[in-house]
Amino acid sequence: MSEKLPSVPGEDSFDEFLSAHLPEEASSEISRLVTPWTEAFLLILLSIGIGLINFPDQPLVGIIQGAASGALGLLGWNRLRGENKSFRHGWILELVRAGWYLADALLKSTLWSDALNRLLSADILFILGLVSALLFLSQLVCLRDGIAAVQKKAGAKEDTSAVSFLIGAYVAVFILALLNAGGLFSIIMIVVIIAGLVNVYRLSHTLDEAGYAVTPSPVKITKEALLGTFFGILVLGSLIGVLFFSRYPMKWTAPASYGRAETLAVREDLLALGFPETVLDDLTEEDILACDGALSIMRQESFYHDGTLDGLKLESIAVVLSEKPRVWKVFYHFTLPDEKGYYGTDALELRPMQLFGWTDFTEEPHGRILIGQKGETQTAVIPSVTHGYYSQQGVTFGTFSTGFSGEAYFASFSLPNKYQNARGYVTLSVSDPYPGIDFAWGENAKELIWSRYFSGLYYIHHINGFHYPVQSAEAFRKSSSYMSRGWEFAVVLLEMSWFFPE
Amino acid sequence: MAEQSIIEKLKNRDESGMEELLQHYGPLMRYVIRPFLSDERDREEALQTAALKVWQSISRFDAEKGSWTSWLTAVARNAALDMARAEKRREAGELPEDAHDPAPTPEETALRKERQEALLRALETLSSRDRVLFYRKYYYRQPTAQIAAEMGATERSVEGRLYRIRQKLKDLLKGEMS
Repeated sequence: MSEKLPSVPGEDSFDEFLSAHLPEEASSEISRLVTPWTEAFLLILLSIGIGLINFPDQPLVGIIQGAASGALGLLGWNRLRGENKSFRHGWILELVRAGWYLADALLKSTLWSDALNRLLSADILFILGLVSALLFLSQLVCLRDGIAAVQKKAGAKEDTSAVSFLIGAYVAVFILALLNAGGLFSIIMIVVIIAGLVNVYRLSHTLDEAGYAVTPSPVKITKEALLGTFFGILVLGSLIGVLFFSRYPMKWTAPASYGRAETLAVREDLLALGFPETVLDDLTEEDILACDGALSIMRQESFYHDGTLDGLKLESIAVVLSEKPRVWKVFYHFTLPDEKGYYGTDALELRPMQLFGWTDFTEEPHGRILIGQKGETQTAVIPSVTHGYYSQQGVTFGTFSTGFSGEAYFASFSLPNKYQNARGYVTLSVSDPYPGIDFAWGENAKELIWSRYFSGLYYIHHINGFHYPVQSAEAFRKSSSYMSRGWEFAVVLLEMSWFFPE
Repeated sequence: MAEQSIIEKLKNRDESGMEELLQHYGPLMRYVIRPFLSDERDREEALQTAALKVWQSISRFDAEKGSWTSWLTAVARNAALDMARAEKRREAGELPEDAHDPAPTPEETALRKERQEALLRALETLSSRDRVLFYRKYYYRQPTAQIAAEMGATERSVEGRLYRIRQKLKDLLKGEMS
């Protein structure tokens, strides 16, 4: 085993000098680290391990986790893709999954994510979730088959039981999630996930010596370029999304002056009935004219005194347009305290009298926002008014907890970063509120309304500059992250309002 | 588990240990041999020679001095290196090494030891990743393309890194080379 000592080396024979003077046996550390597969394989296993854990209540953690899993997966699969067909398929699936993740993450940096969730039916969302899970599952199958092919190539005994167990564990987790399993099932789920992670660790020994038969693919794109592209798209795209697409587009204009002569007459009538002038000044001409022939007015006023929203004022005014049948036009008007550094979305959630006993609205809710800017008033239409049933759900370790479930209207909008004298209103018309109840019953009628119709008016205000993944005030209120993202929004219950003639 | 069983069998002169050795560690030994020899038949011959060497010198393996894989790697490497040298000499029409090379003098042995220690000291100053890269190039004699693929880098970046390592070592070993 002896090597001939070279003559005294000059510049040109330095390589020969180095080779000739290395020890005959490399250290254990060196022989452990010089392998064709370990690093690539560990990257894939880390990617799988990170991908296995799911935090539905922590969307930001989910984004970071997905980024880490995607980046590691890209690096790992890229190295093994040339070894055999299964690894190549695994690489293609990794590219698809990375693209899927990026699309989802970028969407989550805009308000479109909420809009899309509203647009897509539950079935489609379920199918999308299923496809995502199947992609991951298929990748595990590729991993199993790829390992088996390497073992076969090396003439070693095929043993892919650890991957098969992992596939089984993942399928079990998926089925339990489909069943919305809680309680005992959630404990089983945790056990299965831990078992899955243990198997990921076991997997690292699956290739053992057979792994030396692996031939990694030449690197065409450097890892810096690969990671740079992946994180570049993620960071830059998210930044663009957060900066330009995370707020409702508000078209601010100067409020139009009244164009019709009768408007002033209706206005005078409303003032005479006790309609507050400050609110009346903010109404559009159409809304004033809609109150033509008003018989009476019912009012409520409430103030909020705490935190960022200290000074928030709400006035609810019901204009009685007809007694028989009973027809009301209701205005919910709010005035916000001035703020600097605001960034995001706000919403007014209406659960008026549990939607007035499920009667049909004769006019869909709409409204506008007004702000003071350089001594001038600017106004914009409330860009999003939605109506529907929602159920607040939280998931912790597979256990589902439900908060409010019910029907509500959401009027959502955004305000400038710095605003003064901001106020707005939402109005709707309803016929036959409180069906079957006669106000002539006096206190009994009041008691009946109070006990039968739960009502609430909530103001949801964005209070934190950092806002990622982007979530509208409405989506926050409706979503399962209601508790976990509470530091981003302030939710104020303004009143438990019900109207009753004085 | 397999490692212990194979070592035990080889030490007990159990021939089934050889079969298991090639089954479990054949891929590793082939991996080490491949860069030294271009001909597939030579590689197989080197593997057989290495396996025989393991059989003959298993008593010299001491787990406390180093790991089984590093010992096995060294045996496979030396078998391949010897064969590559013999092949080179045959091609050059030279006589076998033993025919005209006298054994190194005590001075040469002492000088070699001194230089070896200096090189090891210099290598200790490198980062773990650079040290691995150095060993891949100079100990395992892996081609740049293979190193690049296995380390997840481009050939250009490997060459650049090797150049920097070489420059650093040159500075550190100036005295030893003069």
